[in-house]
Amino acid sequence: MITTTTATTQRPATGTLPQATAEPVWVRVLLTTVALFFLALFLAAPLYIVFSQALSDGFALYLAALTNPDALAAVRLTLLVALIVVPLNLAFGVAAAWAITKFEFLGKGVLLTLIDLPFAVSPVIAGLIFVLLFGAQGVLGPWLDEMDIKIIFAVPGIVLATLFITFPFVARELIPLMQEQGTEEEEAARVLGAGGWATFWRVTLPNIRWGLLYGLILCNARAMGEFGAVSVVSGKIRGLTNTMPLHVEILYNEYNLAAAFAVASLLTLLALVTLVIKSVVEWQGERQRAAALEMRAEEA
Amino acid sequence: MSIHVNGISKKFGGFQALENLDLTVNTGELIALLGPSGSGKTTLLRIIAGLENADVGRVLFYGEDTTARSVRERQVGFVFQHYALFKHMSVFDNVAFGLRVKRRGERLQKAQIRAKVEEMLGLVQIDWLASRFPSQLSGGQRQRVALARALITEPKVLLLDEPFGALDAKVRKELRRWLRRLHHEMSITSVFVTHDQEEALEVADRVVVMNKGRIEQIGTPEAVYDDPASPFVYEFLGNVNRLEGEGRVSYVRPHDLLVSRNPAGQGTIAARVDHIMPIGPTVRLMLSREGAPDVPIEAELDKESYRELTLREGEQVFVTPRRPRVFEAAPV
Repeated sequence: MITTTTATTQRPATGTLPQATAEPVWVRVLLTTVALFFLALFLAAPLYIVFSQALSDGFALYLAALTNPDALAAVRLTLLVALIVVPLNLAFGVAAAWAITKFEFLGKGVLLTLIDLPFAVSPVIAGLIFVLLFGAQGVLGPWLDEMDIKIIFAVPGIVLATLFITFPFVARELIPLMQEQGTEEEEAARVLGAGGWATFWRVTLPNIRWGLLYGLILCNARAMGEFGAVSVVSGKIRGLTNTMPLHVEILYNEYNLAAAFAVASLLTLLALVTLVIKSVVEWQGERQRAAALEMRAEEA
Repeated sequence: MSIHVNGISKKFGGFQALENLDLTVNTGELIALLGPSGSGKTTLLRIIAGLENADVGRVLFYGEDTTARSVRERQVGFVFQHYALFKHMSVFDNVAFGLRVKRRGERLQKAQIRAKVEEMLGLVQIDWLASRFPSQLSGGQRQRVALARALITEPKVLLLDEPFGALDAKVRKELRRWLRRLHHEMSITSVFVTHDQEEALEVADRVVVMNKGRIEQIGTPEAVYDDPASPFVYEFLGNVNRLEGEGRVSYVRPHDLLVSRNPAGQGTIAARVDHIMPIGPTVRLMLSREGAPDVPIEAELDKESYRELTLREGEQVFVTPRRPRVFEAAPV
């Protein structure tokens, strides 16, 4: 049997020695106060206002604003778009990250740049590009008209625009993670006789699951909240092509503040839930990573 | 299972990793690929496994060409340098992996898999760790898990990449002996890569010394150490003194240098004692050639002869190479 030597690390006594990074008390208090003040001003106050405005005319009216047929249609459309976009970008993001990190091929740099494109382009421009492509006066417009396919000012256009805007989230989250992990475990699986699918499901996926979930949450949040690109292609037909963010804008422009804030409060709740899940996932992912790093450090 | 490597060449970009290399590994042999980093030893191992494809050349298992066969189909056991254990699986699941991913027809029943894994864990003496995760194991334990995982599918060929590189000295020694025993018990053909000459000499039946993508020498540990075929092998294996003169280079091991107070016949060199280092049962003398202080000479004596000489630092002595090996001067 091998004897394992356990090294006990002796921590230096803290508190007795002046630490190199320690700042005077007043600096720390000042910095903390400034940070908290900004947090209150830009996060807490708006949050409070959204809910107080939404409920300003009473809870009955709040509910009425939410159950209004147009509002319900907007919620349904937003959910539908997210339901289509998130799985598609899941598949695309995993495929792209897999290809980029596990294989060498020509045009890898180009693909990496293309993945970042939606982050670099203003969403409004993205929307306009789709209008120029698929709109009545667009390149493919006449042909689509002939085939009786409606994309712009219809649900397909909204899905396409959202797809474009949100496709970097999953891939961008996975690429650094998979690069860090390398290909050794996959090679081990192959040598042991696993095929491509088995390797992916049993080895790769479990290793990236927290990063993947994190990317999906961000992707979903953006898919539900996207305004710019969607607003260009949607046409804002009430009850038909209005998503929740667009519906909020319309209500607001009609001075229907209570209703606008009521729908906005739903989006805000979504954001809060997203943040909570995100923190949990991040914490889990960090734990997994710390364990992996610790292993590697011991072996090095 | 014998392995034949025929005329393998491999280039990575502009770097010639392997050049027209031939190697035969006999059934049941334990072979060490020894060389400095960049000598192509790991690349050769990966080509044998099928993890890398050669540009030119063939790999045969039992005389059967496997060049076109994928990693999956070659059915070799492979132990990675950093083990590459599946981090999210327990030790048991790691070891069971090779059995579970078999094609439906060849796959064993669950109970059979369990029994087999337990037996294997017992063999490598880690049955008590079955439910642990890799991050909860020590380096030596991980090494055993990696071996168990590679051996569970009963491969005829076992390939190991720097199997002891990441372990501390004591654990390393123990595992070496244990690997030798295991290799003989399982009668498996094994090839392992190492840059550690001591490890190669101690564990392997035959040592393949590699340099710059070529094989410098193949032989038993004794042969490569006592009778190196080239200056490179001399300099790479063990400590050696390089003595130059008249278009020739001669090599002599520190323990093959006779140290005396008086000139002792032909080939004697006058030297000054710079430093005396007693190391365990031997005493190492750092000398410099008389008249050429920047040419260091290393000699090794046993304690007994050292006492008889009663040497002190700064004194003059004479050294005589007992078994010098002379090569035409082709600088390494």
